[in-house]
Amino acid sequence: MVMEAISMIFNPFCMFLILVGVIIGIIFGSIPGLSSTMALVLFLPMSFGMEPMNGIALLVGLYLGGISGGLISAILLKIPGTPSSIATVFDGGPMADKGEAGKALGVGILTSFVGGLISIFALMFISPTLSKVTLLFTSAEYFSVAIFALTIIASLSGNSLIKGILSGLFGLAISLVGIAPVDGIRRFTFGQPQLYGGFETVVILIGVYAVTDIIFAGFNRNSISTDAVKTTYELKGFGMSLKEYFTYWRNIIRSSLVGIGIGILPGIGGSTASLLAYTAEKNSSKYPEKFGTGIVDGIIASETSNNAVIGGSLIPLITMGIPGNVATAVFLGGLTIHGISPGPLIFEKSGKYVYGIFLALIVANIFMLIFERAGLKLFVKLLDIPKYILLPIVMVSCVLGAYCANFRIFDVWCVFVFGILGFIFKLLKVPSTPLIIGFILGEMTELNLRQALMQSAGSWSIFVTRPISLIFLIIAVVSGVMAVRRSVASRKTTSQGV
Amino acid sequence: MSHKKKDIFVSVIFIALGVFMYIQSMNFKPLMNNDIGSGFFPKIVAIVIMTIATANLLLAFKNKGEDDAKEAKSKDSDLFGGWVTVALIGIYVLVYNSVGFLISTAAYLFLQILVLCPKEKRNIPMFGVISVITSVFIYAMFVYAINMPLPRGIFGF
Repeated sequence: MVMEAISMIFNPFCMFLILVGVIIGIIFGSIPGLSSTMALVLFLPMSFGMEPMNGIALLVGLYLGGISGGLISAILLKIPGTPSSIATVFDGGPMADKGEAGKALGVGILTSFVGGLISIFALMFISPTLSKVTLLFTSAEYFSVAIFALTIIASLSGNSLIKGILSGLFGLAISLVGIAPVDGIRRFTFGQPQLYGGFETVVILIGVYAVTDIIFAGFNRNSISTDAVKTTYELKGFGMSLKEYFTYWRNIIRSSLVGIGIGILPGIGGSTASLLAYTAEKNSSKYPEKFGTGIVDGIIASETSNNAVIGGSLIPLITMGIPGNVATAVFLGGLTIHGISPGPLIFEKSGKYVYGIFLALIVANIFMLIFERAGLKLFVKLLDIPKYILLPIVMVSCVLGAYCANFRIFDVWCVFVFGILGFIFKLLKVPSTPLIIGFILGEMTELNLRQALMQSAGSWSIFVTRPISLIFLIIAVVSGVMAVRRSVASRKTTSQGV
Repeated sequence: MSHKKKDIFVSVIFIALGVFMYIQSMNFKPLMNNDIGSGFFPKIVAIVIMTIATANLLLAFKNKGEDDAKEAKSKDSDLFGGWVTVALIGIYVLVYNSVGFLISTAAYLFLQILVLCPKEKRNIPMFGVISVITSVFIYAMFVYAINMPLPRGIFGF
């Protein structure tokens, strides 16, 4: 299997796709307003038409490049190109002001590589072991895992827990459209043959993420054209010798672990990882007062941890089929369309693809290091392309992507409808990420619930008498209760503040 | 719309959705002996939607207009640009198939760039060139390079 994976990844076309993915990812990541999620979502339909490994390799390149590109604008424009680079601005901005923008960029790229690499190794060692445990899972366990995963919604809900839950439930509701699992009854199709197959994940993703953003750009067109002041930079090598870089080893390891941990926990994401690693580093530093004044420590913490999220977030996806963020949800779409179903059997059934993903990640990481550094001048130049030209082109690609998913115009209309829905959600301050998670988990939840109950002849006790299932239900309850308590506490503080 | 009104609006919409789903789900009867049927899960989802939405409604009423003050309108917010963008995208997807990819895309790109671009930076000839080149490039790539047919439309190209 490993040999097969090697031969698939190290063929020139696949390597080329990884390279294209990394470069486009970096571009989307570096330009504020274009997100790495957008890049993934746009290229997902294109990956459908490719050989499975090639399609997945392209997505891997986009994911990795997208997270890494954010540091360029975080340092030069003081605007994070992706939310993951938010903490990079804290010290990257001041470093640029001191004339050390080059050093900040160099170290940022280097440390992104190291963080990514450590997390890829974690993924390679943790996921086979974990998948042996998940081999013991039956429908009952999967139902409980799905319930636990649905509680992710609580942590993705931002300030409004209730609206987040409603959004997630709405996602569950639209996942019911089409042919039902088990008995194949048509539900909520209103006689429309187009709806028999249900909605496409990619169509919803494109609508809610890309189209909504473009509509908002229309409403804020004055602010998208304001030019941020770009700092110039000078850089030789990576701005720091390797020997000097590795004197920060404690920081590197701590931040990588934070990133991997946050990645594994569903629903938290790169921006929290970078903030958390930054805070952890500051608190344990001998000179916490210097943080925020432009020191390299802050950049290392932020950029190591956000890239370490990549490997971490793929662990629950590969072993249990649970997407913890939008990027991994896109991945899940890419895998399932090629008939690769993540879960405990993935190593046996589609082992070559899993090893292929590992290899593609390593290759993409190396490409990122080389090409982000070598092409830095070009990426910096691209920041000058006005957004009023870029966004319409992105919109055209969105429609194209939706059309190419099935070659039917119905999907194109759905993209518009979901774009409007995302827009209304945003206006009413209803978070839209829970909708995606609810939609994706909908089928898994219902199918396993029904299968488990058939197995137990209708007895609900199956979910609490099987130990692993019970453990997941308990974790789900605990995580749900904690989310409610957090929400109540934040409500109190806001109302006291008014 | 104030925060409170938004909350009430969201709750009412979701309660209606829950009721609608529940009524629809009553039609799905179990087909197999020991299966709960295809109506069970939608009913559960509908009930949870109604419950949570009602809770949101009650919380909204309890919130005695503390933050009822009208949200400060961002001075950058621009209704014309926004609604024209929505309309452009709507028309674009509507005529995508009938007019064909090339013409609809070139026209959409040109108009959308024009709408998003600030007046002082408008460069109509350049926008025209960008729109046409981009559409032709994408069309050629898809149709000739990777053999994916795109809508040809009434004019046959």
